[in-house]
Amino acid sequence: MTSLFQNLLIWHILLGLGGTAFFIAALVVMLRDKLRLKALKTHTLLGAMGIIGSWIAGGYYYTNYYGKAVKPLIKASDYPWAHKVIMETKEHIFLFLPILGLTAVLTVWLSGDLLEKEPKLRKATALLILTIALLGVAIALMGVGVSGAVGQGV
Amino acid sequence: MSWYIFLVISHIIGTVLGAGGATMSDFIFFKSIEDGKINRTEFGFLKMASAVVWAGFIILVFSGFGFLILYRVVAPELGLLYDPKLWAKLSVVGVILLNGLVMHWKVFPLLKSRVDKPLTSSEFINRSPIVFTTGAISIISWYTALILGGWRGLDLPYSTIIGAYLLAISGGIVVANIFGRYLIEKMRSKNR
Repeated sequence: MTSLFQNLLIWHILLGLGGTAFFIAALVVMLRDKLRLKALKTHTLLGAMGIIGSWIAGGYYYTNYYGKAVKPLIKASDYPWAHKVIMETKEHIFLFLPILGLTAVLTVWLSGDLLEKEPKLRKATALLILTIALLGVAIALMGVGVSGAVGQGV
Repeated sequence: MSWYIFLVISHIIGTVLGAGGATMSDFIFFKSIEDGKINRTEFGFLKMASAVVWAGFIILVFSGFGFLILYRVVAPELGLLYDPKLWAKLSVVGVILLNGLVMHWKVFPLLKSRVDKPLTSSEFINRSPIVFTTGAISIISWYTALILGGWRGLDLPYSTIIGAYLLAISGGIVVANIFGRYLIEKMRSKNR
């Protein structure tokens, strides 16, 4: 693997993890009685930036390296389902995760004080952020699963 | 210092902060309710302990994924990422995360609403199981992560490790609730 693809893979993991961590922090803010709007805005913005950054790094790595060099290794290993099931699922979830992240950012930044006044809006936003956080955690675990299969195929 | 050593040290620091913070949190809680109520300072200490646990959790997760990067990029042939112990640790960390969220959602608002008020009210007694249950899950999960991390050469299937963990959690929840209820009853009889 060239250093470019090594770096892309590393940034894909770190930014994705960071983005997920910020959405979990945003969820903690949402769960508290008193809403700290400034913290919520910062967490969702940094979370979406992390996810989008991870998407770009992972996307470039996936289209230019994974298919040629990694996929054949996984398919030849004892765990071909790591690509067929896990990677395919990961890839599709990952397509709409940045959109969900941006939706959360726009909701929080444009709604502002309404989030405190409207319990239904607050609940819906909390559910959206929870969905992003859970999908982020799931994708991270899928990443471990795929990476594990690469090790078995080497 | 190599990346590996850096990650090992970070991982240890994360686990120590998490397990230490969870231990202190439970200790502060049980010490605080001895007089039948939690005051503002005691509640502040509980929140501080919670912040330490979260800091430990973040360090633990990031250093853990640092190992993933190291194994994936530098030595994928070791095949360590399909180790049942690793997946057991990941499961325990998942439980710690969910439990932490429940604590912020249910436990802290409940305790905050009872600051400087007697804990012997029926309202608190009815809702107290969640306080004792999440406290037990937190401390047992953190010590499980600590033991799994420190136990070199542990070679058991995932189901055995998680089975033992769930057994410990179940026992911990029962003991914590019995002990918690005993303390509340003790406070009540003292107030009579």
